[in-house]
Amino acid sequence: MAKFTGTGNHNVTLKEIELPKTESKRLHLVDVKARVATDIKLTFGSNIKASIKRVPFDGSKGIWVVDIKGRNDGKTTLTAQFGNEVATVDIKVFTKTMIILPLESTQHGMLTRLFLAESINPGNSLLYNEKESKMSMIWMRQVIENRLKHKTPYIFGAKKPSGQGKYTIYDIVKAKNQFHGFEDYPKTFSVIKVNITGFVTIANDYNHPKRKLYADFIENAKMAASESALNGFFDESLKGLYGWRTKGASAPGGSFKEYKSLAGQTFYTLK
Amino acid sequence: MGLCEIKSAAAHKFALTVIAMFLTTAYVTADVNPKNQKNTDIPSLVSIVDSPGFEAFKLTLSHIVKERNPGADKLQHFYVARYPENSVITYMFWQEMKLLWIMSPGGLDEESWLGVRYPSGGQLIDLQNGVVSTVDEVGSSSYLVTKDWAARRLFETLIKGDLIIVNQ
Repeated sequence: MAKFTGTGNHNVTLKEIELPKTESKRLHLVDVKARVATDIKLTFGSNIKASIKRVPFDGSKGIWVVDIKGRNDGKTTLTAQFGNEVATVDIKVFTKTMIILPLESTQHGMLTRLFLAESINPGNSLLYNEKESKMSMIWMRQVIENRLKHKTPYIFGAKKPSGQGKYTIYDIVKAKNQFHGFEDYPKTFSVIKVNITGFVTIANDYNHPKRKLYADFIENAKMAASESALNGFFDESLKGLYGWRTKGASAPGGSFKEYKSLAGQTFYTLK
Repeated sequence: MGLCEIKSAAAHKFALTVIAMFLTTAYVTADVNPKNQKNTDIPSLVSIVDSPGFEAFKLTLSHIVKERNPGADKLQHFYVARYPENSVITYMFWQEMKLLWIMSPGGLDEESWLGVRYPSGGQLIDLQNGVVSTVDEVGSSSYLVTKDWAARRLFETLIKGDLIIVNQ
């Protein structure tokens, strides 16, 4: 039966495609035993351009090369017809949005990077759950705020530069030995930088199967890092959230007491 | 794509004993505890080598070497601990970079191993800078681990785990 597929796997029929405006994509039209390309009729809406290569990809198997290009936002259906054989695929053309991080010199930029670096990301197929991940970022933000408001933030490693009146969020995040790679922020530890760069690259790669998951992951981190992140959130732990550890790691020290596990992290309150 | 070879970790045991000796003391001590010897409920463990996604995992290791040790001109040794069949967590040690992963095994496609390629701050432990002697020294840190804990993980990976060699 005639069908559209990707160029790598001819067994999976494509039903719908998302195509960024001005970008091109190559498809294969499979199981169409036409003699020449001109015997195959392509029909499509004005928001895409489509053409079929004159030379088949594999004539004996009836595989033809079809190139499409997005012209304007909107939906259309691409139809290929040869006699009674008909293949269709729905195509949505959209304007690509570049996913970028807030400036690293800002508090919003620092917290966004912290939550991205510390959270279990969508690449952990067995652990990742978008809703829980989003909430765990809010809990992380609450941890930062609670440490800042604590009467003695220095017990969490925070140090005030001389002459500075109050502790700031920077002092909490850059505290010694607290968050992997953030002590010398914005000079982030290279191990962490590789990860964050990878997330942004995937979030902007419209051919990547996890693009949307990573784009949402980044948006959730930006939201948890925003001024209004904790609006409407109530910290239900009795003494407040004060720390987290990755599930499977050793226990923390000090006066930490386990509160709950969420999104691959164990969160702690105080005894 | 480089060549990946698989060998039993035992074959490299001798060469790595010097590295492991210091850190495994605590685990060996715990392992001979009579209470542990009586435990017959220990689940059987599976090897990453037998995972249906092993080919995708090897590709992931190649990416890791390229991204985190570019220009590496010698073989790179990764040791993966065996884990209970339904476990979502195991551990991996990269000998050349002295990095330890708390990792979640993926599936057939490479994308399902992205969590290993891009681990969170707490999933990737730098054994040269992230290990302290006592729980008190861990304190409120989100990533430091104790020497005893690291020793157990090294025993599970280096001594009892599976070795995967990546040749870029």
